[in-house]
Amino acid sequence: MTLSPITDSRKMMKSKRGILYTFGLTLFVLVLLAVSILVFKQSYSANERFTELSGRQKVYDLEQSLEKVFEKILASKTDIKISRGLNFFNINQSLPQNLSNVTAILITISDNVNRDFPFFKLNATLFVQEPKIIFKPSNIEYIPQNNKRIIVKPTDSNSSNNILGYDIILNFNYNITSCTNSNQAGSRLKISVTAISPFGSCIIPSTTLNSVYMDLISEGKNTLILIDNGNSSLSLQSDNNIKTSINVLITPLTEEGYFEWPITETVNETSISLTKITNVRID
Amino acid sequence: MKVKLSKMKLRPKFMSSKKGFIFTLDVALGIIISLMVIAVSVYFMTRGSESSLPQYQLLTTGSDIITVLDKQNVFDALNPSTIENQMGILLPSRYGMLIRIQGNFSQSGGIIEAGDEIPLRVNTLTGRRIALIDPDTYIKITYFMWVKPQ
Repeated sequence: MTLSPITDSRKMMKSKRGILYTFGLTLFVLVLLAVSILVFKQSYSANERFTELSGRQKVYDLEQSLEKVFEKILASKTDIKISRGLNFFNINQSLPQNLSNVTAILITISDNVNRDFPFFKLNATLFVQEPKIIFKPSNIEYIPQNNKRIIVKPTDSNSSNNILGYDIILNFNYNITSCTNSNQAGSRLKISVTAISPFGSCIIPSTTLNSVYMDLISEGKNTLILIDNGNSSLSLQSDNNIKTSINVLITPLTEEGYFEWPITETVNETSISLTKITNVRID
Repeated sequence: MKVKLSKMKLRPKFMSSKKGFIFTLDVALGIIISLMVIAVSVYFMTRGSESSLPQYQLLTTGSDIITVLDKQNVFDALNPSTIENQMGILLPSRYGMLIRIQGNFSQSGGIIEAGDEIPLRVNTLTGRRIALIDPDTYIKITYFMWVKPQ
């Protein structure tokens, strides 16, 4: 009679232990399942990350190699040399400047790229219509126009304040026979002009002015410099063979400046849902 | 009392042998399920670690090598052995690489290849770049990258 309560409690203990075992095993399997789901998710997101990274690498590869191609074209087909600093950018070139070779090769490159890379569309129409270099993010355009003319101007009225002045150096092959200038005094722009020839030079020393009109004659041909008060633009037109160096002083911005051509690249990479339209960068 | 006791002794023996069988079956089943779950986990973990950053690094290495070779004007001569030699200098020993150049040039029907042969059953990554070689020849460069089998 005294044995039965002990047997009952043992039975109860055993059944409790069984429940505990089952519960423990279930918990273990659940934990394993949770871990496997986590690992699966991690693997899935790693795959997604790789797809995105490789997609972006594909676009980057093409953009960067295009940049190199355009830099090569600029170096081999023109004598235009560009450089930049925190508060200026500089463009050296000679006049006259024929850019028809550049536009011809650009069209060829565009056709080839559009054929070989379906996710990429290169459009050089704007550059062919008006070749120019745009300095970003200051939005200042450098336009070598009609072989004999250079224009520097802000892209829009808001950007005119980004131009602080000009340092212009002109090298003539023959003597300067006449130099006329009429400048409007003021504090708008810091300007210096140095025109050098084998015999004689014409200089506007570094000073602050509102506008400049300068007419130089060499070999009976005119070279005209106009700096406009309105939008701080510069126009340099020459019938002579000259070497020019135009240093554009700009408002320093926190973002580092860079050059670009108005050649639009449209990227439509569906694998990573990337769509963008930008201009081609050259540096 | 004696009869009752023997009956009581018999029942637990029979019960415990049945319980032991069920318990063994339960354990075996549990182990099988656990092993399956572990195997699936290991498979996904291996796949997850395989196909992310190291693969991307492989791709960027190829891209960097092409950039350097282009900067050094190695492609200008369109000479496979020159390209291979220069590529060998830059390529880490664990990696394999094949460069295919296509363009409008007379040499080898407009396609030349330089580098190792792509081994079978090896995961290969591909990238493409363009370049301009003298005089004004547009070329498309496809590079194949893989990790050499140990």
